[in-house]
Amino acid sequence: MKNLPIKLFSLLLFAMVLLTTAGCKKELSNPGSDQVIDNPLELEVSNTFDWKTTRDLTLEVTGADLPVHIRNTLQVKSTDEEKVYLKNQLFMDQDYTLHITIPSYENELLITYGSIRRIVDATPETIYFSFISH
Amino acid sequence: MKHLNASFIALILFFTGLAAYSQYEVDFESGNTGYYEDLCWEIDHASVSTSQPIEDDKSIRTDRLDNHIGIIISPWIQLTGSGDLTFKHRIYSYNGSRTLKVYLLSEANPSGELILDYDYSNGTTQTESIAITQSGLYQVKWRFSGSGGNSRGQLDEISIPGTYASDPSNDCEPIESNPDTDGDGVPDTEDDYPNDEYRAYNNFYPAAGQATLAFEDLWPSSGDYDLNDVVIGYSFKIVTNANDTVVDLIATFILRASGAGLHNGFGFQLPDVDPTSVISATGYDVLPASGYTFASNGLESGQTDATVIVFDDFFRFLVPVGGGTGVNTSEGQPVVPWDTITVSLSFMDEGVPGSGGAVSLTELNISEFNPFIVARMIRGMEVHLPDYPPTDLADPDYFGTEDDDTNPAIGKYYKTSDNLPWVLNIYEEFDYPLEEVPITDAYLKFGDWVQSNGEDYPDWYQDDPGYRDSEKIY
Repeated sequence: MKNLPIKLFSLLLFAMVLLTTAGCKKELSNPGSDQVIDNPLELEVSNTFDWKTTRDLTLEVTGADLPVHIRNTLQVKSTDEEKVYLKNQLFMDQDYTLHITIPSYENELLITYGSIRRIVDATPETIYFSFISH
Repeated sequence: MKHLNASFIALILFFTGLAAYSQYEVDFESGNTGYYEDLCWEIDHASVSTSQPIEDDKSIRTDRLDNHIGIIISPWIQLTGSGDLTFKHRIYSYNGSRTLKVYLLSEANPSGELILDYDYSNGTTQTESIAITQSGLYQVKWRFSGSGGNSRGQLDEISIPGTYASDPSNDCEPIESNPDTDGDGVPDTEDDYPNDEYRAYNNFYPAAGQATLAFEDLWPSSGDYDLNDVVIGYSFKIVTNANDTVVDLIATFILRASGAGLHNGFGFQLPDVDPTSVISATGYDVLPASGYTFASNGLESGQTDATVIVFDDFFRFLVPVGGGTGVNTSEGQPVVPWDTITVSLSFMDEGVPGSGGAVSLTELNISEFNPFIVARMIRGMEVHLPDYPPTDLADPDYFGTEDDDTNPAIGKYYKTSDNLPWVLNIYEEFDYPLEEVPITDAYLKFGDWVQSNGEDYPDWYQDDPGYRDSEKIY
């Protein structure tokens, strides 16, 4: 009974050491991919790194085989339609190659042409839009 | 005169003849069901099919008619008042009782006027030719129905006496003659300047709000990377005409902060734009004593590409108050209201371009504009975005001195030997770091963005959870 406080203390100490060690182990097994570099001079910057916060895309537009000339406005927007990256008056029966600059983080774009609306993957350097989808 | 009259009459007869004989023809060989639906055909309980076509490779084929009604409706057609509607149809593997009814639909009579009522008695192909005397906007509707059996209807080789008049870009409504008040070819509903024949569209860069230029100004020495020595918001409105040619460029610069002891000017260049393509540049604010020289159109003299000096000394506009370093970068210092300078460049005057020729929106390529500060108000001491070249008036003797590792031979400009820049161009309004706080300390994903070569956190500057230390941002 006399030794009970000592045993209890030892048990607690052991448990603390165990927890601390386990914590360290976890840290080591997940080397910090999100480790903050707080000195810019320590950054390792590739020769090819592009400091821009935007990307340039080429938009290839395929015209429709229509028996009539129809002209409407093509718009390339963010999917929430808050930002219009391109606005251009195009004939529906012609092909076009257009260039757009978008924020680098945009992965999808909404392309509209009058009532025609399509969401396209914005990750490739060249994206495609066809007035007739099938 | 007699000859002229005869020619005129012949011309009218020719066009009348064209109108009378124009036919809209469809054989369903060019695509699938969706393709024709995109071209404003309505196809219900039927599809474009390669199964036993009437002609060539494809026909329209209905579902089984014992439990479905197959309907095919053409796009709107401007009927000419004469000519024949022709088409082929059949019930393949005829069984049960089958009927085809054909209607002409109009906006006034959407349920349609019956022009053919055909009861099948066998499976052979029928060729119809129906005289059409109606003129105006109509759709043709084919309705296959029946009971018993399992046979299907087929339709092919359609020819309608008229011209296609649906607008696939307007929910397939009939093509409207939209008013175009200024006659520039852009309908009023699409025209940002419906009463100005020389202007049609406003184009914005960035697409919304303002982007930000954040400079370090100690070039060619590295600074403290707080990127607040000169902070300028900017946006461009580019006015184009109906042919996509630039008419006006309105550049708005918002002077936000300068955590610097140095006096710096600011300008920008439009790469590959001939200075004589600009008719006039107005709105810039440069004192005569600053030493800049300008051409008669307001652009800076001595430049191969169009160059605008926006202001000569930041501190003329945002005057430091309350001691400390600079303006709007230290907590506890009085906040100085932002100032705005708007520069307008005119590229066309009543449809006539500058002597250097017209500039298209693509050629202007505004996202590649080349901004720079003139550090310490020394004209040759330009500081540009990384890998953007200097203007003709930059002094190349600074290159390669101190921490600068510019090497024009390999296209390396305004970067250190470790590839660090002196300027960032951020697509949105940027909340810059407090005085002497390195950007890596304020923006916690900036380092990951750089070291991942741009793969990770391309949105590092946004206010997402875990992205920034707000205590270290002004």
